[in-house]
Amino acid sequence: MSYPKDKDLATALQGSENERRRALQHFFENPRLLKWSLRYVQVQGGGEQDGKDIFEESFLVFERQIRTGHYRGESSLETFFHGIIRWQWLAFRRKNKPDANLENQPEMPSEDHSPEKILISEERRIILSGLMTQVGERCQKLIGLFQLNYTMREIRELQGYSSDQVAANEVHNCREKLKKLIHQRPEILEALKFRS
Amino acid sequence: MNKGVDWYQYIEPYNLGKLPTELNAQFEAALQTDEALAAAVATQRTEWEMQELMAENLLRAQIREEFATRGAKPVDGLNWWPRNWKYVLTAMIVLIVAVYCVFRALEKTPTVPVLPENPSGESTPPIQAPNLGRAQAPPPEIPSEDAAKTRGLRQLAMARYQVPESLSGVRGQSDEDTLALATKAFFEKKYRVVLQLLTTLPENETQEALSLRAHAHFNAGNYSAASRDFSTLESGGIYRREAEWFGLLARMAMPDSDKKAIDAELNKIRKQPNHRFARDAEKLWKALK
Repeated sequence: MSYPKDKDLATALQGSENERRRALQHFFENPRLLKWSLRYVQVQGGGEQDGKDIFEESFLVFERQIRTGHYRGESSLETFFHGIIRWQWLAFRRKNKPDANLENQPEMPSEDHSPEKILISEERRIILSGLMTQVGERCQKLIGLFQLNYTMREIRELQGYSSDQVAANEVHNCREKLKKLIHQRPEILEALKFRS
Repeated sequence: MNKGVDWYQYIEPYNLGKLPTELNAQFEAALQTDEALAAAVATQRTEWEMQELMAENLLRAQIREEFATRGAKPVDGLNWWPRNWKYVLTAMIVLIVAVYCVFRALEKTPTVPVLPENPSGESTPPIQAPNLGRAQAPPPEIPSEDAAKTRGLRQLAMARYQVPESLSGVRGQSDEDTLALATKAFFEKKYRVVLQLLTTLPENETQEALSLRAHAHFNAGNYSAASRDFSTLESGGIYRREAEWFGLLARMAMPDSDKKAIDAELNKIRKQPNHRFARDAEKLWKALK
């Protein structure tokens, strides 16, 4: 599957389950995306697994930038993605080799004035991961699908619910459960307060 | 500050960094004074992040599944050159040197006709044509690369050869003088006569006579003898420069001429701008190359 226009790829990344899958496959098949990323990391001194990790993290950031409207098509998607790869590689090096003489971390590639808002720091991830386990696997999946803007019909199909309404109710219940958990653990909010 | 504004509606856009700059500043000012608003922002942020982490997990699973399905394809040509350039370069140099040596060896090796081996080791007499009583003609010359080269050099030497004007000025002490007779014979192209006359060089006109004899040898096709005479003249005297040039031509015309030695001699002449035959040497050099 090829996307002659960047807009088509961006739309596919927010489309149906199949469209999203094909968009992800495009990242694997287009030599200027996955292959470029692996090559970049290896040329920079990283291993093949490092390259895969960087690609994975970059794809997550990339997808989120598009989903949250931080990418407005002012630069090509490829260029934008390459910028994220470079940024992620430097972040990776900084994390794994703090003593290495690295140049200052550049700004997160974005067309938005405050892209850092959609980044989740490593410290916050660690704190939040403890809370996540309490939500349960089923709710984690439902909330994840909801967050990725899947429609209730898609969630029904994926989860095998009898109707869209049942799917919506299930998602609602899981989100309420999450909110409740957060409120019940004020110490977590306190711990997160100073960790941006 | 906009009092009475419902800041709670801006929590999500604020957390996603989507508020316009001015409104963002006002919102942050409100956060400083409104603790409940700050708590609501922190809660929404935590909730959003939790949801994002769950979304991430789903995407991660898809990416890893894709990696697993496609397998770990090696990334072709990635660090191949940076890792191996030394070996490749060494191999290329060795190859170039080997090719050069082979060509040089082929250039030097004379072409020897390969005779078919006789596996039995017996000496089989060659089949001879019946002798019809006629005088046996000499075997035809087998053309070889060296012979062709020699012919080429000789032709070049002959083409460059011109009787020097200085020879026309060679006069004996009288019209009946040996040198005068030899000069006359030379310009009548009676080279054998010249050589007979100058078998012994006249004592008082040795240089002139030697020069004339050398040219007579050259024109008679005795290139080795011509070379010898020119070499004697090269050791000194007014004919030294001429002798260098004509001696070179004589050595070129010799059947066993040494191409390298000729090149060296020719190069020596052409590198001397004041040499009388420098320009001729340059032309010959280009013709040879």
